[in-house]
Amino acid sequence: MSVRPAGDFKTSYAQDMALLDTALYRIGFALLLGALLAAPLVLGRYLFLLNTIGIFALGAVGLSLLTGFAGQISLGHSAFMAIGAYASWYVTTRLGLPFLAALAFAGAATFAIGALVGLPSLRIKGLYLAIATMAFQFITEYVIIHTAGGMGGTVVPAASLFGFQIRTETQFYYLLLPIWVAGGVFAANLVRGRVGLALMAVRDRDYAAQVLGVNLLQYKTLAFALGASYAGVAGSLFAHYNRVIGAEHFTILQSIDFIAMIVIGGLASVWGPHLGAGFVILLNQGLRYVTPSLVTLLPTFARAATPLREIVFGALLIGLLIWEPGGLAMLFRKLKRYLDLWPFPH
Amino acid sequence: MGPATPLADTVLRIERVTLRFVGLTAIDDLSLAVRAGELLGIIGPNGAGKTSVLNCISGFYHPQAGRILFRDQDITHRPAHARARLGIARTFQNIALYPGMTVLANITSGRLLHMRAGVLAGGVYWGPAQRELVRHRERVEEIIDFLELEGHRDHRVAELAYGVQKKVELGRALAMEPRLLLLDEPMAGMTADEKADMARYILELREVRGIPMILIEHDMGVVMDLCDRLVVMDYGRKIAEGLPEAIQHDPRVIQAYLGEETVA
Ligand SMILES: Nc1ncnc2c1ncn2[C@@H]1O[C@H](COP(=O)(O)OP(=O)(O)OP(=O)(O)O)[C@@H](O)[C@H]1O
Ligand SMILES: [Mg+2]
Repeated sequence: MSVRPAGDFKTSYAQDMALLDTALYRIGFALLLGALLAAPLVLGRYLFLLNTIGIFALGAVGLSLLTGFAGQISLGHSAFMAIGAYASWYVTTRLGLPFLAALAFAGAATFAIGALVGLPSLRIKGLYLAIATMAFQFITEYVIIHTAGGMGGTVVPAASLFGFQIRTETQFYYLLLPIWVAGGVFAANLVRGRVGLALMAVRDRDYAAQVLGVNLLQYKTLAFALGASYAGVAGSLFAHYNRVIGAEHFTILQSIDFIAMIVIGGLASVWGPHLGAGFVILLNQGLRYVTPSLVTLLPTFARAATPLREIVFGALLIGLLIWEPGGLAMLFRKLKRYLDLWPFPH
Repeated sequence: MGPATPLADTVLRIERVTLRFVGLTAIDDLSLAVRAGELLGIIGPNGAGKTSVLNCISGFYHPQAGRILFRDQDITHRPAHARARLGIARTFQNIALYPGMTVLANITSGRLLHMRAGVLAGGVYWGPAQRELVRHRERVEEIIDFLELEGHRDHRVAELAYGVQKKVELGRALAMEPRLLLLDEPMAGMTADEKADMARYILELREVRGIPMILIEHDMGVVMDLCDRLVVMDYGRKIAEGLPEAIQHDPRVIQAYLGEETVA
C-alpha cells in the first residue's frame, strides 16, 4: 500500500503511473544524481568504494530481476559475471575491438547463455534449481581454471573510449555512472510494465499466470537471460576496472554475496540491489579495515578473526530477516512514510 | 440427452471426455456444449467432477479420451497459456489471486495478454510503452467501476474480505476480455448481499456483453435464477441436462442429491 502526502492529487493516469510520481520523489532523485556526480570531489581516495559498489549493484540488479521478481533462485550469478569479464577480455585483446563493443558483446553473450541455463527452470524448482545453478557455477569455474589459467592469470587492458584511455578511479567512475544509472532505471521501468507484472505473476502463482496467458517457459528464460545479462555487463566493467581477472574473483562465495545483497537490500525492490550492494561492500571493506587492529588489541582474538566476516554477515542476515524481511528498501520506505506524516503521526 | 446444439453458434464443445486419476474416474465420457451468449450451469454433489471439467477446458488436466473444441478449433492438446490467449478466462474455487499485490495490479495482470510492449520498449518506457500502459489502465478502471471496487483500488488483496477477493478475481478474468468465462463457485462463502451483487454482475455480463459462461455453483436458488441451461454431474457422469425448470423435477437429479442437499 502506498501512503502519499495529503493534497497530492494526480490529474491523469499517465501522471499516476510515472516512475517518480511526486514532486518530492523527483527532487529527491535529482539530489541523488547530483550527489553521485559530485562524489569524486568528496570521496577522494575512497572513490574506489563507489566504483566497486556500482559494478556489483549492476550485477545485483540482475539477480533481483531473476530471484526477487521472477522467484528463480540462482547460485551461479557470479559465473555470468565471469563470462562477461572473459568475453570482454577476448573482444578487446583478441579481436582488438573498443571497450563499448566488448561491453555490448558481454551483455549479449550472457543474455543468450542465461536463456539456455534458464531452460531447465520450467521443470526444476526451488532447491533443485539452486543445485543446478550451482553446478553451472562450478563448471564455469572449472573451465576458467583449465583454459584461462586460473588464479589472477588474465590481464585486461584499460577501457578506452573513442581513443581516450580510462585509467584513474575518477575517469572510470564517470564511465561507470551513466551505465549504472541507466541499468537501474531500465530495470525499474521494466518491472512496473508488462514484463515485471508477468514475472511477479509467475513467481507468486504460476498456474494463475498461465490462465492469464503467460507462457512460463518464455518468462522464466527471459528472467534468466536478463539477470545474466546484467551480471555480464557488470563482469565486463569489473574486468576493465580491476585490469586482472581470475577464477578467484568469480567463486560461489561471490554468488552468495549477490544473494546477500538482494536479500539485505530488499528482494522485490528497484532500490534494493543498489542499497544491498552498498551495504555488503562497505561491510566487507569495513571488516577488512577493523579486523587487523582488533587482532593487535586482542591477540587471543586472532583465531576468531578469519571467519569474522562470515559470522557478522550471517548474524546480520538472520537479524534482518527476522526484523525486516523487506530489507533496507522497506526500512527506507517506512522512514519516508514516517517523515511524510511528520509531525502528525497517523 | 439435452436438445441438439447446432455447430454454428457453439462456442465450446466437449466431446466424450474421460479423465482418470489413479484409481478414480473423475470425468466419465462427458459431452457438453456452450452456445454463443449462453450461461450454462454445471451442478452436482461434491466430488462430482465439476472443477475437473473446468481444469480440462483451461488446460490443467489432460483427459485420457475425448476432444475439446473451442470455436471449432481443437484445443485438446494446447498448453494452458495458449488457451488463455484464445480468450478462455476463469476464476478458481479457492481464489488464485496475487495476495501481495494491490487490487489494481491484480486486475491489470488480466491485461497481460493484450500488452505488446517488448523488453526494450518496456525498459525505456518511452512513447509507445507508456501510452500502452495508460490505455490498459483505462480498461482496468472501467472494470473497477463496474465491480464497485473503487474503495479498494490500492489495497493489497491479502487485506481484503473473502467476498471482495472473489470480485477482484472476476475483475481479473474480465480484464482479459474473455470470449468464454469459466466461473467456479463465484459465490461460495459470500454474504447474502455479496451474492446478490455477484448475481447482478453475472447477469449484466451475459445480457449486456453477451459473454458465454460456465457457472459452477452449489446455491440452487442462484443457479435456477441465472442459468439458461443446466448440466448435472454425478460421479463424473452427466446424469441430466436441460432447462432449469425441467432439471428441478428430474428424478435422477433428486436421487443424486438425496443425502447431500435437496433441490429447492
Ligand atoms: N489432481 C487430482 N488428483 C487426484 N484426484 C483428483 C484431482 N483433482 C480432482 N480429483 C478427484 O476427482 C474427483 C472430482 O473432483 P472435482 O474437484 O472435479 O469435484 P467437484 O465437482 O468440483 O467438487 P466440489 O463441489 O467439492 O468442488 C474427486 O474425487 C477428486 O478427489
Ligand atoms: Mg469443485
